[in-house]
Amino acid sequence: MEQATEGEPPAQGRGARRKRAFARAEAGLGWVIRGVAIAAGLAIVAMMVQVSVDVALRYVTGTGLPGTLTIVSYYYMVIVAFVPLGFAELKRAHIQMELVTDMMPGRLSHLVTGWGLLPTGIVTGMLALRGYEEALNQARIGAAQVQGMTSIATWPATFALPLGAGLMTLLVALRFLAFLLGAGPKSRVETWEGA
Amino acid sequence: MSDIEIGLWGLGLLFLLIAMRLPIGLSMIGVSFGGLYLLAGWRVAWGSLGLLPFNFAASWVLSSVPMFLLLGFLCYHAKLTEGLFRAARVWLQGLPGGLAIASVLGSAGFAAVSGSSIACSATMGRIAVPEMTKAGYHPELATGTVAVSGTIGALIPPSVIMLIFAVIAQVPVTSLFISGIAAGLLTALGYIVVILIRVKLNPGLAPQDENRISIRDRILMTRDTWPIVLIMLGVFTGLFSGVFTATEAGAVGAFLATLVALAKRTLTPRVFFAAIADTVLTTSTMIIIGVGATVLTRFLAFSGAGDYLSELVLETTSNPAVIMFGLVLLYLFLGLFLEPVGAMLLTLPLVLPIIDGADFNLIWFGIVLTKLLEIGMITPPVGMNVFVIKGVVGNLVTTAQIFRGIGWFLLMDLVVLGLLVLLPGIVLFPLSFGG
Repeated sequence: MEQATEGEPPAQGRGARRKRAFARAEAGLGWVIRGVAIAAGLAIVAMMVQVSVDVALRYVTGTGLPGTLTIVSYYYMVIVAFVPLGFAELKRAHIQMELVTDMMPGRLSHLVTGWGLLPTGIVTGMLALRGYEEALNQARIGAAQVQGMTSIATWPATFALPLGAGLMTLLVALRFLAFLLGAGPKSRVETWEGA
Repeated sequence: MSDIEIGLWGLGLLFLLIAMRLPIGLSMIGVSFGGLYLLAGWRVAWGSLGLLPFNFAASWVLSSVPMFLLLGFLCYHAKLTEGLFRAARVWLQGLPGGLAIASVLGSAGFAAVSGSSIACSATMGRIAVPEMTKAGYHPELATGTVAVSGTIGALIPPSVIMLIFAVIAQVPVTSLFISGIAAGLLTALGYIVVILIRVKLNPGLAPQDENRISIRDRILMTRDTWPIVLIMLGVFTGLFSGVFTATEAGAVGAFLATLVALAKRTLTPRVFFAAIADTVLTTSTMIIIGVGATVLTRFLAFSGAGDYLSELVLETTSNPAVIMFGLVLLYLFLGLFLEPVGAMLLTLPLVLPIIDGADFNLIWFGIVLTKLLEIGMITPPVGMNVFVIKGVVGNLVTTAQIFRGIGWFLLMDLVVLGLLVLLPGIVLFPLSFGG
């Protein structure tokens, strides 16, 4: 369903079409980001269950689940930390200081916020690129952690950072492009998603 | 430009970017990367980003953060802790401002399962404010009380702020937690005194409830606190007897909360997903700031600006009282407009060397810092707890009214802060038992 901004008549013309195209693109990317973020939710649940079972087993049988410490630290934590970076951007949940831009006149605040997407995207892009390079490196050397008598491969988790930071970069790039073409939301509060 | 100058310019640029509403963690990473590039070239700067984020996040101690967050969010979304307030209110009925005191005690109880003051404020705001206004309490008193009481959530363990401080400052989490109890209880006591004084001076603020509830009914209502008592026992005994690590205490607590919510039939898929989503978002956005703090520390060390600034402070004064006073002012100021974890991680790379140089007890400083950051949660213009309460109660009050309701409590907070600073024994004495 195509929606016009509240209180305005259904928009016509090229600007409106462009705006709708960006809205659709962000919605599509949003679904990918949400889908990937499910991995982080599962990691949280798995962390809770595995640690609880480990404690219970240790209490009953004297030995816990082997590898719990390594799996919690090197898999669940890393996934929870980095995979949802794009999701946090989608939800505008990243921790920022809003005070100064809120005090600016609307138009200036819009400009500052819009141009701020550029350095943000450069940093996340750098993290994604460097993270990917390092993840390939870790995979090549087969990075692993030794806990007790077993060795647990840790390299697969190093792909969490390039995945999360990469998705965030895509979203920030899309929002920056929309801002440059005047096809983005008018203020930071207004989003295409609604609440 | 000398290395130190690069470091100082970097810090200036960092604050500018943060003021321009860039994500705090990413600003720290970007500026530090640029600084390292200028100081040591591309290879060092590019190399520094390599495994650092991974190594920061892959931490067993830090894994307790999502577990305690999950515990708090589960209790909030599944409404597990509301019995606490109801039980406190029937027992405190006779006191002036009894409902307000009940919400302070309810918050203190919820604090024992929640690691953040936001979850704590939201929980009590949702249940206590409607009951207080129904009983004729002044909306400013009602909302002000729950907004400030939320800060107890970060003082009484578990506490996310203390956990992150423990990771960065490398102090034992359990020692911080034990010391936090005294600070939290002292804060709660202070708020209760404020309520008693205010209602004594102006009884119209909180009309006395004339209905008397029988002892039998009171006991019946107290029984409804079993879920929280059960979870609290699980978390605390495990943690303080040394049987559990912090992560294990959080995970077992969250697991118990899930079971209790299932038994009480308040755990719908929607509730569960909401708790998970809140946990994931909060953890991820905090950890990226932690990564930023780690890179910033490296940049400040490399440039020498960190040493320069801490030496500057220590040369200016070696008087610990003056240093502490300066730090108190710094954090009260930052608390006006920064969120606590951001304010803490942004400053610790600079502040820890000063603390070290002045030979402060790190546990004590961690508690005072937590208290300072929590005061920042209720001071305008950016007081997160106030915004949370406003979000929960809707159009009943304006944000400005809630801030006004906080005024008296804020004075008491400064008194409590003064006690914590001047008498470190208040928070440190439990550590002398059992080594």
